[in-house]
Amino acid sequence: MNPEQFKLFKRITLDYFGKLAPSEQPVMGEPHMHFGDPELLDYTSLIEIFGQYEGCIYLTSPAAMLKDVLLINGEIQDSPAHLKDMCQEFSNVLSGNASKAFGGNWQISVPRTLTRPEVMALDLPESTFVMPILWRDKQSLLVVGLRVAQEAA
Amino acid sequence: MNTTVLPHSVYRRAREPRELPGALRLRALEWAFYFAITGKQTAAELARQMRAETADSTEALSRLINLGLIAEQELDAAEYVRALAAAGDREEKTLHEFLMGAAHSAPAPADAASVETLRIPRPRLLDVPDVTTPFPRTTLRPGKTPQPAFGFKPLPRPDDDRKENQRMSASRRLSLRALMNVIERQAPSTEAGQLDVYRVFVRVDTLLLKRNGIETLRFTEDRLVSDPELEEALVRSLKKTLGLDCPESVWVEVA
Repeated sequence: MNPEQFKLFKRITLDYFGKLAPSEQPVMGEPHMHFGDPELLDYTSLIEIFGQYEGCIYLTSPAAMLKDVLLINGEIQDSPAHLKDMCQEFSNVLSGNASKAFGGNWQISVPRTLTRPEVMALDLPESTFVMPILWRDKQSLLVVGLRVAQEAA
Repeated sequence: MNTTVLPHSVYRRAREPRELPGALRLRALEWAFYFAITGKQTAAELARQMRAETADSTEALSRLINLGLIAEQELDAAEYVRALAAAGDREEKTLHEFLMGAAHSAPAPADAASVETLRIPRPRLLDVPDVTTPFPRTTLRPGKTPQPAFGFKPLPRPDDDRKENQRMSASRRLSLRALMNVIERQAPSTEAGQLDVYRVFVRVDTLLLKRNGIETLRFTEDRLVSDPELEEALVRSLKKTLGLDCPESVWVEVA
């Protein structure tokens, strides 16, 4: 994952939120590293990546943010099934963005859409690079979690 | 008027954005500094973030000071040493040289007004009777021990100045911010630097980090590490991941 690919990935993911409501642009918060149990919100869009490192990229979002996106798309129902559908849309966007940004050097898995208990059951990398995305007073987390491939279990 | 801006000076906002006059006009770099200032980072760190040349950042910070928009943060001795480490110096030094550099780079109190403006730990400055000749940084000769200034007591000169990464006294700590600065400085951009920092931490056992209370770490944040196992893990990972030796400047002496 080189810095240019990484920068492109961040930008096009942010652009997705920007296009949802052009008058309310998203802001990338201060990034940080997180160690231990992953930081998870209500729903998570996740892809696994394999290359020099192995790990995953995920976007974890609060239900309230998914409800906003549903409304923008004209959907007033916000049952868990609807929210998960919306999260699947995020997963597809994430996967498309990752393919675009990391194309040549990385293999990217099929995107998955998961609730918090479902994600917690996975063996995710414990060291993560977390980038908060602030949009409409809500916060999603765009997370990169890597393990060194040859040292991975 | 150009005010003296030391690389390890830390600034805070003297006026919050809501208090700014509507007619205020600043250059882009000045606005960038104004909004980036949090009272935690050194002038050198901010300049690195902005990718600004020293002269430009000095000019921008001076103007903000002169306009009363920012003011220098007063630091205690430990904070000052930490700021000094975080400010970074491209030249690798032993701790001895580093502390001598601290004495060297602080201004002599020849002009009371300028001391007042800079607000470098004043009690320490006032303790110094008359320092008009700065200590040479790299011309130390055996048997010639310069007098410490500003309350700093440089450690005894080690037998071999080039020995790196030796653990010294129990009060010695590894500054994570200084370590991150070392990594970020060798990277071509902020993104690249942060990725490199992350790659270094990926190789460190999270249990070690958590044992030291490090669960979340911002790239601008400092933590002082005293756990030898974690220090070793970080030093080893820095070497293995980026091929870098950990310079002495990442260790700070804590009172």
